[in-house]
This record gives sequence, C-alpha cells and structure tokens, in this order.
Amino acid sequence: MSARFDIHQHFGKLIGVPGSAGASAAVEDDRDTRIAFLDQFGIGQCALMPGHSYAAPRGIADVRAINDGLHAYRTLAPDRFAAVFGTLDPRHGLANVAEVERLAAMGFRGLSWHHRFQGLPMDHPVMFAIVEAMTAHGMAAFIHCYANGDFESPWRLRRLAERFPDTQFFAFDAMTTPENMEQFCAVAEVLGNVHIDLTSTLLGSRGVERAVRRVGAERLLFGSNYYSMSRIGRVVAIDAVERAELDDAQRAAILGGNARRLLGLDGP
Amino acid sequence: MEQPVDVNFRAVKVADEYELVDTPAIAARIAERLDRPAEPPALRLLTPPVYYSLANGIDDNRAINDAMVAAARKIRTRAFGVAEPKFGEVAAAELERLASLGAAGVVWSARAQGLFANDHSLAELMRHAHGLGLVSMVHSAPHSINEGLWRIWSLSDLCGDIPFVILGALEAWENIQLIRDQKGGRPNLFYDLSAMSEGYDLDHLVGAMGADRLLFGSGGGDGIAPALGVLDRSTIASHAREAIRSGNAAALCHLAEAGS
Repeated sequence: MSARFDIHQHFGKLIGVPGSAGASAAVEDDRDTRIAFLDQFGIGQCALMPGHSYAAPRGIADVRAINDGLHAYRTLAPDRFAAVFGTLDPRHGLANVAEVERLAAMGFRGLSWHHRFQGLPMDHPVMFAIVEAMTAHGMAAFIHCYANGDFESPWRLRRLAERFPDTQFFAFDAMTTPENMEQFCAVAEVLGNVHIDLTSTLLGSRGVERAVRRVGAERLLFGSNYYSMSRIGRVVAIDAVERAELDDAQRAAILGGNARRLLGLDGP
Repeated sequence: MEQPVDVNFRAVKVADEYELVDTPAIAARIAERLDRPAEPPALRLLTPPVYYSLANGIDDNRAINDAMVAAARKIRTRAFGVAEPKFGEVAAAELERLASLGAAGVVWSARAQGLFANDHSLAELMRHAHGLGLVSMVHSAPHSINEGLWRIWSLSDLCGDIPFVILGALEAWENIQLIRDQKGGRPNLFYDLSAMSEGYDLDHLVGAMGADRLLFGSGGGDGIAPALGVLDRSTIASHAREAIRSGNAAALCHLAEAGS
C-alpha cells in the first residue's frame, strides 16, 4: 500500500459552496468512488471528517447521527479509511461535552470544525470546554482556518493551542493565501502542537518550500479536501510537494509520515 | 409618532458579542432586560440575541420565538423572531407559526447561522416570510465574509423586490463609504443606525441616498440614548430626522395598522 496519507477528506457535502458537493449516493458507491480517488492519486489511506454545513433541526440528536454515520462508513474500508474525526456543533453549548466521551469510546481519533459554517468563533468558551474534554482522551483537533474568514482566524487557533499544549491542532486550509500561510507559520513557529495542512494550496511549490524553511517539514501535511462523490482532476497539494525542492525524507514526511506519526497510526 | 421607534432593541443584554445565550433561560433574560421602561421613552421593537443555544434544534428555536412574542405582548409592542435557514421546511413551518403569533418579522444572521448571506435557501425563506407579512432583518457584521455587504446585496437580487433591513452595516466606516457610493443599493434595502458612531457620517449618507431607507435602531450596544445621539448630532433636515426616528419604521412594519 502507498505510504501517502490524505489528512483532509470529508464524508458528505458542503452545502452552498459551488463545486464541493457531489451527487447523493449509497454509502457503498461513495466508498468505491472514494477508493478509486485514492488509487488514482496513489494515496494509501486517509482521515475522514463530516461536511460541516449540515441541517440539525433535532439539535444534538442530528449531530450524533452524523457522527454515527461517519463511524459506520469507516467500517466499509477500515484499511483505507484509517481514522475518523467527528464534529460537534458549538451552538449546542456545553451539552456537547458528554458527546466527546461517547465519541472517544467509539474510537474517534479527534474532532473537526469549520466554524464559518458552524456559527461560533473557534475560540468561544464552548470550544475551550470541548477541547478540554478531548485532551483527557488524547484526541486531536482538525480545524479549518482562514485569516480573513469569520471565526477562523489564526489568532483564535493560537488561543486554543496555547491553552492545551498536549493536544495536536491541525490548521486546515492554512495555505490557501499568502496572508493565511504567513499567519499560520507565525503561530506554528511558537507552538509545537500546531500543524499546517496544505489542502487547496494556491501557493505552489514555492509556498511549500517557504513553509518548510519557516516551520520544518515535520509540521506539514498534505490533504485533498475530497468531498463525497466529487470529481477532482488534480490534487494541488500533491503537485506542490512533488515539485518543491525537498529531499526524499521531507517529501515522504509531508505526504504521509507526519500524519501517521501525529495520529499514532501504524505505517502501511 | 411622538416617540422614536427603535427597530432593533435587543431583548437580551449579553456580556460580550459572542455570548451563547442559554435558550432555556431566555425568558428570564428577556424579563431582566425589560425590567425598566425605555429611557428615553421609545417604542421598542424587540430583536433576539444573535447567538443562542440550539441543543434541542427546532424546539429551542420555538422557545426563543415564544419568549420573544410573549415579552412583546407584555409591554405592548412587537417582536422579531428567528428561524434557522439550514432547517429547510422546518424553518418555513416555524415562520408560519411566527406569523400566526403576530410577530413583526424575523432576524437572520448568516454568520451566526453558518452560511453565506447570499445562499439561495435564505432567499427562499425570506420570500416566504414576506408572503406571511413578516419583515426580514439581516445582520451585516463589519469585516465579515459570511455577512459582507456584497453578499447581502446579492441576497437582495435573489429576493426580488421584497423590502428588508440590514442591521449593523453602518458600524464600519468602510461600509458607510460603500453604501454612500452605491446610494444605498437596491431600493428595497433599508439600513438601521445601530452601532453607528458619528453624526457627520449620517449627514453624508442622507446626502447620498436620502432618509427614506434609514431606520433608528439601538442594537446591542449602549442603549437608546447614545444611539439617538448620532441622530441628534447630525445636521439633516428635521423631516429627515423624524423619518429616521420613527416614520420609516412605522411604515415598514405597519405599526399604525397593528395598533402599536
């Protein structure tokens, strides 16, 4: 199996964002399409999280169902879908904390968020309570980050990461703009528990090289931002890493080694 | 009207901008807020908190609206409720219920509700609300992407000619310049004065777009008196001042017909 590990994949759709939603499908078709995508790009395994723009008219019950669905989906190909990261809706307040316990017991490696679609800032008091509960179980946090976006700024991530130095935080979409990259490199330079995802990078190989110089290759991870049933012609993060002036060890670390090490997963 | 009409009197006073109001306790929080009469006297149209807990989904949504309407009835005014755009048909049903309760309208916040303001689902629900006689008011937080003015102007394109109010847009100086430049955008758009700080900015706005689409609203800030101060410090004509102070809101929200 390939050593490549995709840190950033979604099971489900992202409502309202053009190009990110695939057609609805049976879960087996979803699995097969996703595995075909992995094989197409020589990716051995991936981590999965839900889409974060969901309808939850039943409140916490609906989010539990999303997490249960993700857990069940993983069982369809556990050798390829190596880790799952659920989500909790910050707007459900402190009632979320009990759900952390349940998800930890189910084997979730961590939790994920895209706060712009989930209605509260990344550093809201509710998030501190949730991450505190996650820390007790050694869970990691996948968090979408945009310097100029609502609720997803780097300084907000810094507040969380400083408070919980033993928790690993993965800044998703961190390399989508020069400003974003600079801000996240600045955070990662002072906080060793913040790692940078290259998903959707628009900065190319030069951006990767710059990030390696700033924070080291061991802090960078590649991801594809694949959503269920979507069709992606190229994975820009893979291209950027392949074309960057890196040695083999650095390239291997970014394309899979770092993810496995940080998530405590065995190699292929 | 003799009294000013505050089109955006926040019914819950929050500790900070992002306080997540505990929905089960919202009725008590509203009662605490309304414990004293308005100072100076004003007709306060009650608006909900921006951030509220939704652990029980639509049940919490209904509880908020019930509390808002009950509080408004008690002080002989009207209230705006909330509906969650991502709840789809469930939200549409809640709008129908809100209208049946006699609410004045509904407040939307793309940022707090987790979507882009120019989302088709929001436009659809706003059209539905309009058909039910509910006035929509849409938050526009400064420097927001989700609630950026361009998205809300795009939303107005999706909504057709239905009138709606943009709340908080005048807090940011950049927004004020943009609105001046575009002369207020489409004619169906209204703006409340909440969080606006300078009278001369109001002078410039009225000069660019007239006074007919500006509404006095205090928002969640320091209260009615400071918000009225912006109006008082401006040099606009008295008829424009009165229109902003009460006349425009009374016409938009049909207050005379409702007996408010």
